[in-house]
Amino acid sequence: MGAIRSTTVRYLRIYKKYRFRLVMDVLWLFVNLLIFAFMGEVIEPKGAVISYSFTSFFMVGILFWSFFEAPYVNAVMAIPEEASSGTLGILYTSGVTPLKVIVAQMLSSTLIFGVVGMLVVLPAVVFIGAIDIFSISYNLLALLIPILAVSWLFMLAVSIAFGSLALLVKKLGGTATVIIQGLKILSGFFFPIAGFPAVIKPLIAKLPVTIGLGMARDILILNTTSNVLDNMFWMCSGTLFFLLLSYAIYTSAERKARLNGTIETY
Amino acid sequence: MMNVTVDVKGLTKRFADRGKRITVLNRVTFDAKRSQIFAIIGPNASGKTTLLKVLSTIFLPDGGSARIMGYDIVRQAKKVREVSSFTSPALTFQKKLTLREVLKFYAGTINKDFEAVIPFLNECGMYKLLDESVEGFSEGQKMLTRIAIALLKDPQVLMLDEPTAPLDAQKKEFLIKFLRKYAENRTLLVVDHNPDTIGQLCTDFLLLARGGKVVKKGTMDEFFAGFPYRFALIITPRGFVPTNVLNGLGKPYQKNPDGTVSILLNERGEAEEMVNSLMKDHKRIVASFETSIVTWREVYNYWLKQATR
Repeated sequence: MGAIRSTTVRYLRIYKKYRFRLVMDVLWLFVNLLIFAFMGEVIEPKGAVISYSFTSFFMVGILFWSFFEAPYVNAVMAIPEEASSGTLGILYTSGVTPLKVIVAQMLSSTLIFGVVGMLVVLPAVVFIGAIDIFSISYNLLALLIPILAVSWLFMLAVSIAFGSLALLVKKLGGTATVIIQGLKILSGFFFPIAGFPAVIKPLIAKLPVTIGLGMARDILILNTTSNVLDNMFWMCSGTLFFLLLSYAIYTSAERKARLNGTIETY
Repeated sequence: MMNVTVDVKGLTKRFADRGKRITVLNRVTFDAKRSQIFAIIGPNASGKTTLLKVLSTIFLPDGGSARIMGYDIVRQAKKVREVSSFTSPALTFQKKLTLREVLKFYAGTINKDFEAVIPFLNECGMYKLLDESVEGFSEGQKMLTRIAIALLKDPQVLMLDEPTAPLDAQKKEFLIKFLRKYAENRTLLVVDHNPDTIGQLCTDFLLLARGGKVVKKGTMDEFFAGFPYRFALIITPRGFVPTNVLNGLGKPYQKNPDGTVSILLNERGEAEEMVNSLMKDHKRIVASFETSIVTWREVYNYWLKQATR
């Protein structure tokens, strides 16, 4: 745990040194809020698939993903960034494995974007009138904690799986962005999952982030929720499956990179 | 107390290169004990750094086995990392952080206090740079930072890849003295291309040939004993000495980095003969000359040449 704790603190210090990058990330969130608030006002839903405004639909999506999007991208890019600056070898021999690097980057980034989400995105969403936070019961608000926590673990699993690829494929390029956009589509960020083809709908509906975003919308917009136990079961079991899968991918990638001699090179 | 600290048996490492498997370490076998400072020497592409990277668990071996302080480098890699440190000029650290932040971070990863290396920082003059950004450090200061990081663990086995290469003469002298003292109850594995540095620092030597095959291992005395010449005629030339002139002497010779040429001889008497011949035929080439008993530099260069063949 010492290695993860220290590496998390190190990343927080690095964030402090690269303040401009953080400002740009926050600015990007604002741009998203503006674009989607505008879209929510002007688009015409095809069929009555949701019972509330599209502005609320998009705003809760942005709020939900603000806790995971930047942390995920930073975590996937952690290995290429460490390798390109030549730090991976010394980290590795100091007991900070690439897995710990990914986890620590995800943690530090979440701490920062958690604060940004709570202090910037949430007030903006409330200000726009997308949600009425004061009418939601404490029990429902408290339920958001496990929903966000399990969704975070799922995104950690995805980060580990794709971040590990950087040990073998040195130029990941836009992989991180492609995956996050794919996941946002599947989670129902851009349009309700009811709009997906019937063949893949049951599969998508079981994705932890899809369940998580659906529950977050129910709580924050409709001030209600249903099938909590059933939903949490699928979220937890899906996340556990992806965590195990990502760990298997990581151990295999690490072993291969150590055999090929590419683990600390870029 | 464990005597053998590094036990390497038949260690093999291959890398893929354009569809072919290239052998970089070829069944390397040796052991090192406490208080030994082991120099790993050899020409370029003899696998010296790769050997350290395998022993420090960065790379996985393709064959053979190795134990560090009794821990298997494959099955007990975590334990190996706890008892050993590796440093190399290729390994670097987050340059935006200060020296204090860098050391605190690495100390935190192993649950140690960074103040453990304050005496080292004081001795090498780095203490005053604690709150300076590492970004502005010279290569020598970066190397001393790497060594400070390596020392945080208080490792039983310390592996150093070219530790003195970027250091100035004063810092080099300090580091050699420091490492000799540090090795009193530990084992050091050192890769360095400078024969003077390893001659002053190391007690034992492992010579690798291209392709990572062990050519010779032993103490300095054993390397001297296997050297077939006893004297060297050291010529300081006025300028460039054509190779055909040196070949024409009929004796083995070595070109030294300081521009001198060492002609290797069996008997001191041969020197006079050689000087007469040189002065007669190539008077304008020779600025000065001296005869001496062979030094470690000649022995080192000789063995390096054997390993290159």
